[in-house]
Amino acid sequence: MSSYHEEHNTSPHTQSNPQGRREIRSEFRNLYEQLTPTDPTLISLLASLLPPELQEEWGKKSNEGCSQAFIDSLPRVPKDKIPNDLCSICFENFREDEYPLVIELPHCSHKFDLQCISVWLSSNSTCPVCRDKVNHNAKLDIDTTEAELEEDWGMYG
Amino acid sequence: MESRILKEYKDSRSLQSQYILALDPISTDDLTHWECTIKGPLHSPFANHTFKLRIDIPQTYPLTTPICKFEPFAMPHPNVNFETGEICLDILDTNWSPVFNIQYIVEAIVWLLNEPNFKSPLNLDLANLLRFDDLKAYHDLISYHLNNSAK
Amino acid sequence: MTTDHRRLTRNGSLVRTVGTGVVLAIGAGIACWYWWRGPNASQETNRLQQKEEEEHRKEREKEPSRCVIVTKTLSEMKDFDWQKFLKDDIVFIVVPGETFLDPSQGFEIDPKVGYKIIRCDTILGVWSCVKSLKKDSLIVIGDEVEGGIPDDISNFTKNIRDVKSKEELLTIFPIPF
Repeated sequence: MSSYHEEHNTSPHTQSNPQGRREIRSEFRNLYEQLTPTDPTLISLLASLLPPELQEEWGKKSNEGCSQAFIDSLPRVPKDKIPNDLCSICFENFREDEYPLVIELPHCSHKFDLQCISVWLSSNSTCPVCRDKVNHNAKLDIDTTEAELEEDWGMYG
Repeated sequence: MESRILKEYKDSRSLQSQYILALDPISTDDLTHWECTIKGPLHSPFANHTFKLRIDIPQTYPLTTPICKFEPFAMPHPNVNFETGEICLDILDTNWSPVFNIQYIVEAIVWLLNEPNFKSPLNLDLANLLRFDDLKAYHDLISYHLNNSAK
Repeated sequence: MTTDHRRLTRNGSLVRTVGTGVVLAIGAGIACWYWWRGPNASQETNRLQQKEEEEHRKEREKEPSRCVIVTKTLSEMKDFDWQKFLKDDIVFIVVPGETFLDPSQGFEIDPKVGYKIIRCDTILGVWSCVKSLKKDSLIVIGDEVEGGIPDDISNFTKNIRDVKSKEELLTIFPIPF
């Protein structure tokens, strides 16, 4: 862990240094957001290296994403019903795409490019537009044995 | 998401706003670093002053939040670090959503100048003045710092 | 005292004198050697030392910044030309209930320096301002401030001058009426 602080030029005494703490938090958030949902063991390993108060936040964050199964099950909007509107994530018109893949969120009916919303939902569980929870009942279903720890360490270590 | 930032750049060319005086990439070759000049809101201690913001767009934008700070000004505000210019604002942190764009962030920062929040302070002394409900001292102290730095 | 003893003592002092002379000579020798070598061997150190002295001199020349808390006594000195001091690196913090160069009392203040007066509604606010301003010295009549000077103020200002009387105040602000 000491090398982490050295590399990022932050102090390990995070409680006495709110700025350092914020830096670490955003570093980890960035790191987390680079991770795919198939990396839960790596996530929990990283989390265990954090100070307790961040561990809680980190844990909360890691549970926030939706499962790939849920994302795959999002209802597609039929081509003839795709609105002449912008995707609010990439700001591109849905219809300008030659092969549009548009989905509609079940709770709020907000529409997005599948590609755009999948990345967002892999680490968040709210609609970007209205902030409603997209899946109240679905639970994150991850089999930790699937995580290919050694390969992943190569990426981030 | 390069096309998204390119779109924002195009939109920013025709931007008209009461409080955003300038919003430009530092170099048009690289749209990930922006500079912005805002005007202090009327009826706030920041009125009649302009402020510079630096905005850095991460690779993962708009899925992750841009990094914004006041620069190079020593900014006296309860939610801004006086030395570093770092800003504490919920939409730049946990409440970020990819539907927000650079202009929206800047407008939120202008709004923050008028609506400080003493519950998440980065400048403890100014936040305490709000907490003690000492608005006279709050106004005068900000005015002191602004005029003293301007010299 | 016997003669032998006296001789012994004389010898002792002779040894001491010679010893001291030798030590001094060696010391002077070393000093000379360093003085001679100095410019070549420790040029870098000398340069740094000079730079440091220069900075110290500048620091001394720079007028220390002052934070003045306006309490009853100071507030009542209405005829005193406080405006002359507003040109300095100074800030006046007015405690609740007192007035200072108040426009409502006919004072006209140059807007270029008027920002150096901070008026407070609360005594806690006064101390928050002092902490935020971090001036070199704090001038305050501690007895006139409700609750006195908080202990932690010394962490925010190098020099606290707790003034006891109007006369003492006049030595700090030496302008005749």
